[in-house]
Amino acid sequence: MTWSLFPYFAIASVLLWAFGAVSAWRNKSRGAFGFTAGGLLLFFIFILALWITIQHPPLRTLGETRLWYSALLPAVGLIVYARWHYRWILSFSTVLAAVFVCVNLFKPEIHTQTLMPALQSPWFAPHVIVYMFAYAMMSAATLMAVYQLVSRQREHGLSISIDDTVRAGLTFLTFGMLFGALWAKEAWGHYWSWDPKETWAAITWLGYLIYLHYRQMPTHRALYAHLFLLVCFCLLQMCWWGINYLPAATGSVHTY
Amino acid sequence: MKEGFVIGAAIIGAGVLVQLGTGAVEWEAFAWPVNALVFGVFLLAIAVVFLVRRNNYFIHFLTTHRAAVPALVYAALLTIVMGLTPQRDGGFWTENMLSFWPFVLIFVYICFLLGLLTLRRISHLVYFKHRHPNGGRRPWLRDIGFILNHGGLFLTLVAATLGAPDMQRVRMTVHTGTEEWRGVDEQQRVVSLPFGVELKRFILEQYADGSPSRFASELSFTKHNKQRLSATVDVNHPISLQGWKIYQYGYDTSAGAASQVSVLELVRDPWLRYVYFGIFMLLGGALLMFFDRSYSVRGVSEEEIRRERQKQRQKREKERIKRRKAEEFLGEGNHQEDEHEHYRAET
Ligand code: HEM
Repeated sequence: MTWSLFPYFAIASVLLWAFGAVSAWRNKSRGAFGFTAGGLLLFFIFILALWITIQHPPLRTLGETRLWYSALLPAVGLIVYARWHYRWILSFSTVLAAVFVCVNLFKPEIHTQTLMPALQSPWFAPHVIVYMFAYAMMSAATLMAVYQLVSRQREHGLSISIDDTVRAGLTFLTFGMLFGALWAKEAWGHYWSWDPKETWAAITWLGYLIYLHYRQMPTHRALYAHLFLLVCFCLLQMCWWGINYLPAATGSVHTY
Repeated sequence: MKEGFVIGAAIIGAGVLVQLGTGAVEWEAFAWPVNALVFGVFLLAIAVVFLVRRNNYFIHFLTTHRAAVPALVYAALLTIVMGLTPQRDGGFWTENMLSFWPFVLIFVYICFLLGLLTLRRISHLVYFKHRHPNGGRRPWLRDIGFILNHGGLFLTLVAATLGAPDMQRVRMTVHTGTEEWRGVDEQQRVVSLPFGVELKRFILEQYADGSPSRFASELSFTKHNKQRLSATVDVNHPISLQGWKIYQYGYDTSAGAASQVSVLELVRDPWLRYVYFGIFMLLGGALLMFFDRSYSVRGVSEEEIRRERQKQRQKREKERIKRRKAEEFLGEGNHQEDEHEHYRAET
């Protein structure tokens, strides 16, 4: 198997994922599971065949990393869908997966493009994917909180949905952070070195922990909790791209 | 919650005083066996406080959100200061946050709370009937989740912090043809190792543009007992030998693929296994938080309720149609074709 066959597999998989996403919107969960799983199967067959052909795990080039992004996004999306039945989650994962597929389709030169040896790790793609989902969940929670704040009525059911979403997002944040730590140990010799990106990841994580614990207090006020959720989202932005503009972070191994 | 903020402020104040009095935290003083002793005393203190907790308002307070939330807020604020201030070894106060007493004491306080909470939940799991108000079908699972999250964070933080002074990082330059038994640590001190290393072959693979796609070293090791073994060390693929993890670090870039030397980094971290245990507890706790339905106050999400309602509606609709069909069949058995038309119009 070579990259020349990629377009056939990729287009078929993306189509199946899109059918899955549409089924999820229409609350047809059997279709959502079936189509998405079918697309995944097809995509993993391509990865496996490529792996066998090149005789090493496809982890060495930018194109190969994008391959894992495209495969893992719908996979994790399906897990989230199975647990929480968010109608939008498969659309999110499908669109992002399609973006990475398109990059691979239209920029074939990246199939061979340099990836520095430290990034050639099985941890790379899972670490990034899990953080993408964390950002998606936290964005969804923030949107709901904004809705609550703007409409000036705090609907109890929606508040609980926000908590559920933050808890799911915190699961992904924890995984992203700890996958990063396990990877850092293999690549740099230590699991945590208080690099600015790591420091801000810890701050963001603490922020959402505060939100969840505050919400469990019988005396808490939903208004403050939702305002605080906006603060957390700002911390998340800081961690994501804000630190690139921070003088304290100029030496970070994570700034690009 | 006010009390919680007062306690946190007092801890920070005390930290400032200690910092003024003795200067920054000297982590090197905690090297083995002091760290093990401190660990033991800390655990003992938590256990004693746990055992005398009955009828003690203050100890009870420490296990509530009213203590936890302010503690976390202070920790977050100090970490934000750290994130905004460039850090350097030996920096002044917040420029070297990891050795800044208020920062350290707040995290010690959080670990103390975590230890206490974990013990209480373990005893709950062991001794009590599980009747959590929102425990769901498997309330003990909720206890396990709690213990994994809070106990895991406790273990990770404590082991990582106390273990740090025992961690050794040594650079070693190995050559072809000679065996090297020594390396240089971060303070430029010479460290002798329990094995000798010789470079058999340096491997450099390049991309078309000349940048390295892989560099690795084929090494041969000799232990004190003369036993030999060989292994290849790749970037991202360290090997483990006698408590050391051995990493590919660098090579003679001017010689490239012909490099006759390779720079290795050797790391020894005797507390790593405890930190990893904590990390895996946290991962397990996170998974339970994701999958255990009892965490959601309803146990189900908004979407699920909507789907469930829709399913019910569809079911009712189907039944209605079936009933209508049956009625029509019975009533007007001789008008089968009409009935068929009617059914089609209905759908
Ligand atoms: C790994 C990070 C953490 C996670 C995921 C987490 C999550 C949770 C969850 C889900 C609960 C409700 C549990 C239940 O009722 O079964 C809880 C309770 C609680 N947490 Fe945390 N927490 C974390 C860290 C902390 C920290 C750092 C503190 C502060 C010291 C803390 C203090 C508390 C307290 C006081 C409770 C209430 C205890 C009780 O009701 O028995 N947690 N936490």
